[in-house]
Parts: sequence; C-alpha cells; structure tokens
Amino acid sequence: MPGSSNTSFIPKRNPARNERQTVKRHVFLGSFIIRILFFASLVAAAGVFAYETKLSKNLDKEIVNLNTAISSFNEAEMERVLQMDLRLAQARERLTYSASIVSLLKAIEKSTTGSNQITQLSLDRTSDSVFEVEAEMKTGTFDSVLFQREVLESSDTLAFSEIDNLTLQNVPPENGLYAAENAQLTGTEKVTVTFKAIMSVDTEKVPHTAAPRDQFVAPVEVAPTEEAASTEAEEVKTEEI
Amino acid sequence: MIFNSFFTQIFMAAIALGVIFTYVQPTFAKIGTLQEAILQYQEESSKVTQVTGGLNTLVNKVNDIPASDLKALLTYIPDSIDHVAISRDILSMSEISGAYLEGVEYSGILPGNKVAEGGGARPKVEMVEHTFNINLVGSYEQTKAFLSMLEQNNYPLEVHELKISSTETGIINSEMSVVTYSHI
Repeated sequence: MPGSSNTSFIPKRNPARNERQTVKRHVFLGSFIIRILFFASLVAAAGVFAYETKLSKNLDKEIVNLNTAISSFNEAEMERVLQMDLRLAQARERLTYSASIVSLLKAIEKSTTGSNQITQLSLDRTSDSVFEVEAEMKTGTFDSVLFQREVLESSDTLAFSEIDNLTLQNVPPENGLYAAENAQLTGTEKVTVTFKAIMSVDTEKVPHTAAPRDQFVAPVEVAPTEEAASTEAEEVKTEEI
Repeated sequence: MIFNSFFTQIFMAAIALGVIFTYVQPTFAKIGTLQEAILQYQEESSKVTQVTGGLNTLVNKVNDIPASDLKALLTYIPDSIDHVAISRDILSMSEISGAYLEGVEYSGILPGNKVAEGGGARPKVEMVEHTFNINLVGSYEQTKAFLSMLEQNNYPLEVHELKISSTETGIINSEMSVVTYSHI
C-alpha cells in the first residue's frame, strides 16, 4: 500500500532531529555572591583566629623577653657606675679650675716695679674662674705710680682694673716748714705716696703645674675592714720595733 | 538544591555578616593592638638590652681602673674629710716650709655653702666644701714655700682668701682661707 505509512496515526520519530533535552540550571549572581561571602567569612574567621593566636603567643614571648632583660639589669652596678661618674666629674671640675697662688704671686712680683713696695696684699677667689687682687703699695713719687700703672696695664696675666685710694703724705722737716725759711727742703725724700692697685686674674692665666706629692696625704675615711685593721696593727708593731 | 533556597541564602548572608561584624572585625582591631604591643615590647626590650650592655661596658671600665688611681681619686675627693688629719698636714707643711703656723681652725661646712660652679653650659657638680682658716708668720719665701706645698698636696687645698701684710722687720703675716672638698 503505497503511502500507507504516512497516514498512520502513530507519530513517527524523526531520526535527524534527535534533540537532547538539557536541563537549564539558573545561577543567579546574588546567590553566587552570597555563597562567596559566606565561605570567605568562614575562612577569614579561621584565619584571624589563627593569626591572633600566633600574635598572642608572640606577645607573651616578648613580655618574657622584656622581663628577662629587666631582671638582668643590675641596679647596684648602675648606682656604682653613677657614683664613680659623679666622683670623676667632681675631680675634673676641681682640676679644671685649679690655680696656683704661687704663680699669681710671681706674676705680681714681675709686675711690680722696683720703686714700689707692696705693704699689704689681699686676694679673694670670688668665683672658680677669677681672683680679685688688691695690693696696697707705697712709693716716693707720682712718677713711680704712673710707671707702675703702665706696667700693670701691660701685664698679660693681670687684668688691671684701677688705682684707688691714692694719698700723698708729705712729712715736714724737723725744724718746721714755715719757721725755717732758709731750711733746704729736699722734699722728695719725705714724700710718701700710697695707693691701692685693684686687679683681677683669670685662674686660666695662673695654672697649677706642680706635680702632687705624697707626704701630706690625709687618710681617707673608709670603713675599716678586718684585714686593713690587722695590717695597720702589724705596721705599728714594726714601727715600734 | 538546598543552597538555592531563598531562605537559605538569606541565612548564609546573615551568618556571613554576623561572623564578619562580630568576630572578624573586632579580631582585626585586636590584632592591630597586639602588633603595636609586640612592637613596643620589642622596642623596650631592645632599649633595656642596650642599657644593660652599656652598663656592662661601664662596669668593666670601672673595674679596669687601677687600684692606685682609685685610691688617688678617693684621696682627692673623699667621702668625708678628717679635719684633724688635714690640720696635721697643714702643720707639717708649715714646719717643712720654715714658716710659723700661728693657728689653724676648721670652720666646718658653712651653711648654704657654695658648690663648685660650672662655667657656661657645664652642669654644676655638687660637692661639700670645707674651710680651714690659717694664720701664718714667716718670710716671704717661707710663705711662698708653704703656699707651694698646699698646691702640691694630693687633695685640693685651694686658697680662696689670702691677706698678706708685711712688718717693718720683713716678716710676713698671712691670713688665709683654705678650702677642700668631699663627695656628697
């Protein structure tokens, strides 16, 4: 029967159009983000927990290190070092400002002219770096005073300040100044000029140069130890013998 | 699928936000604090170690000071002075110089006694000052010899005041204030 196959009520399968029916999965962006957020938050929580734990351990370790370092610090040694430093600073301070009175006297001698005589000398160390010197001098003429002033002004060591209390004392001749009109007055032999030279001297200009000597050392007061006491006793015995 | 459920997603989002805001963020802040604390502790430890190292160096230096130098230093600036021994030394000096010691008097530590003055930017170093008043009679050379001996002493005997007056016979009368120091 020709064409009978086309008239059958049973639908025929077309072999060429054998389509596979696939199930479409809908992935929404929002749900994707939420999933990422969810897992990321869990991972982050785990990560920060681990890191925090590690940091806490590190902190404990650092605290222990600090405590160890602090406990290794010796306060008594520190005090000893500070005391020694202070003592050295004190000694340095005195040595820095050490000055020689002998050098100062020599400088004054050098600056005193032969016609002037020092009758009184006073010296005051007003500060660590300065001596104030007052020399009461006596001479026979004003020229000597002028010359003395020049010498003092030219001195390198002494910082001459001024001449003060200048007085002239003229002793009249024995037979009377007015009574003996014919008396020959020699004048200069009886004139006395006194004055005070005021100077200041820097301690730097009169340095202390002499080497120390041992024989005048006063004993240092330290707590006597038994050993020292016994040694001292032995020494005394030896001396007695 | 259970993940696709709307309520599940809401729940997941809520959990995620809850974890972030209640745990992750505060922990982050805590981590910052911990890091700062660790840094500070490290810094302090380093400082303490440095100081300890410096102290050890200084202690070694102090220990290396020869005993003779240490003795000289303790003689120069002692802890306290023995005014009797110093008076005896002054008498010895006068005898050796040939001058006549009329008197020596220990004035003690004067109230409000000045301390060594630091010049310029130098810090003041405090010391106790002890004063001795001395009256001396002798020739000018003898007086100078005495002053020279004061200067050569192993501990400071600084002349702070000196008054010299001469007599007609050439004898010199000297009044002086001599200062020595002790450690505070």
